[in-house]
Amino acid sequence: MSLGKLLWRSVDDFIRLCMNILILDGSRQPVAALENVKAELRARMEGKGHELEEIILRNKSMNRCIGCFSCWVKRPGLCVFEDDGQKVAGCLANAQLVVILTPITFGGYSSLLKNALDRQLPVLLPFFGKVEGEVHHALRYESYPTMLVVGSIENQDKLHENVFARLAKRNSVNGHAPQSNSLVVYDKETREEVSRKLDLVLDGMGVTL
Amino acid sequence: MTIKRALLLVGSPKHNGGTSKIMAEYLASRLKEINVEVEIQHVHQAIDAGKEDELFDAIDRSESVILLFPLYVDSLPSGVIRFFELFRERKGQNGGKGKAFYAIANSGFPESIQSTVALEICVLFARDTGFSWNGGGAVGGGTVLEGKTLEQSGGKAKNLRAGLALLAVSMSLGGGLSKQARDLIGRPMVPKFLYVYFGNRMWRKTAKGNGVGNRMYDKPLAKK
Repeated sequence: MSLGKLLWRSVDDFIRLCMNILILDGSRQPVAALENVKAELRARMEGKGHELEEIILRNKSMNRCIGCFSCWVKRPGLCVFEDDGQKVAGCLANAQLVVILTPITFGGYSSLLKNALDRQLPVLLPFFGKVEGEVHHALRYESYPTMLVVGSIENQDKLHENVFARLAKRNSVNGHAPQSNSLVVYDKETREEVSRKLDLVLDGMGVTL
Repeated sequence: MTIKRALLLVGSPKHNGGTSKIMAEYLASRLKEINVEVEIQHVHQAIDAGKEDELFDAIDRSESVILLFPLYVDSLPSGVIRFFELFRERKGQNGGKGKAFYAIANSGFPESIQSTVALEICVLFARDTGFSWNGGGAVGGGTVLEGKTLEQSGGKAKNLRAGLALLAVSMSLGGGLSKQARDLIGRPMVPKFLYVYFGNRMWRKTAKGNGVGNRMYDKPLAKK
């Protein structure tokens, strides 16, 4: 192979490996375990050419989805509320990886995070299609991001953790994620422990940062 | 044991309360027939107005609480989750002690099973705040009601009406939601293929009526 071709292939590989990455933090106040996850992700992304958008939802202003469906039948693809919810939708529509962070709340997501996710209806079409044997809304965009959902909890609680993992899985089906996984981190875990867990979960998803 | 007072919480963020309100009104009428006093509260209206204390007071004066909510992204709408968070913060682990908690989900997908995780979140809320979890059910394809009351909806809402009537009796006795009631509530109102066909047609027709029929596939957020 000529030097030119080799060089071109290297550049092409690099471009393909560079991702638009969205981090959505849905904690109402900073949570040490989730801050560790973010620090680890940032450290791994550094100098790799990824484009990172980190959105701390507690600093954003967002109306609730009112189920009006205007984003499907009046302003296709756009919410009636032109606020930070729209910005999150824009990032989601163009990301290759989304990392969602939340304190586990009754097995689910915090209300802050849930509000942002409820506002993502415009990135889908109203039309029904089948995904894994169930009826879901069809894709508006060509591709959707790989999804990693990270929940923090004070101590191990299998009931909460099981519901959380199933919710994350369901969201990935609804969100047409090509790959997905969920991870639970505990309040007292060190950054090294969080790092090891993150390695395993990213590896399982085939994501290299 | 019979109860005197039940609280019906409507969990829809829609201004008109949507299908959740329609079901709440039917359930309220059945409960009133069997001499249970009923109070209906709208969760989002209270939470967004900073009047969550009104919801907490309504819970305090009721023996039985039922939450009727639409499925939003596989879970409960954010305002309902905020209500759950605030209830636990303010009322603690025993805030619901001595009271029964029920939940009915309705989704825009025809399969009622899609609401299972959302109902599990309700179970954990009840457990973590001291309520007695008395059962939950899920309605699939609730949009076929098209905003009509259950009485106006004729045959397609027959099973749902029967299930809610059974639920009303169970609630009045402080009992759990029976399997029979749960099955009736979860039975499809129309066959799945018809729901999908007419649903897709309805979206096209509505968009066309709004003058955007040819823009339904727009990708306004894609980077150029």
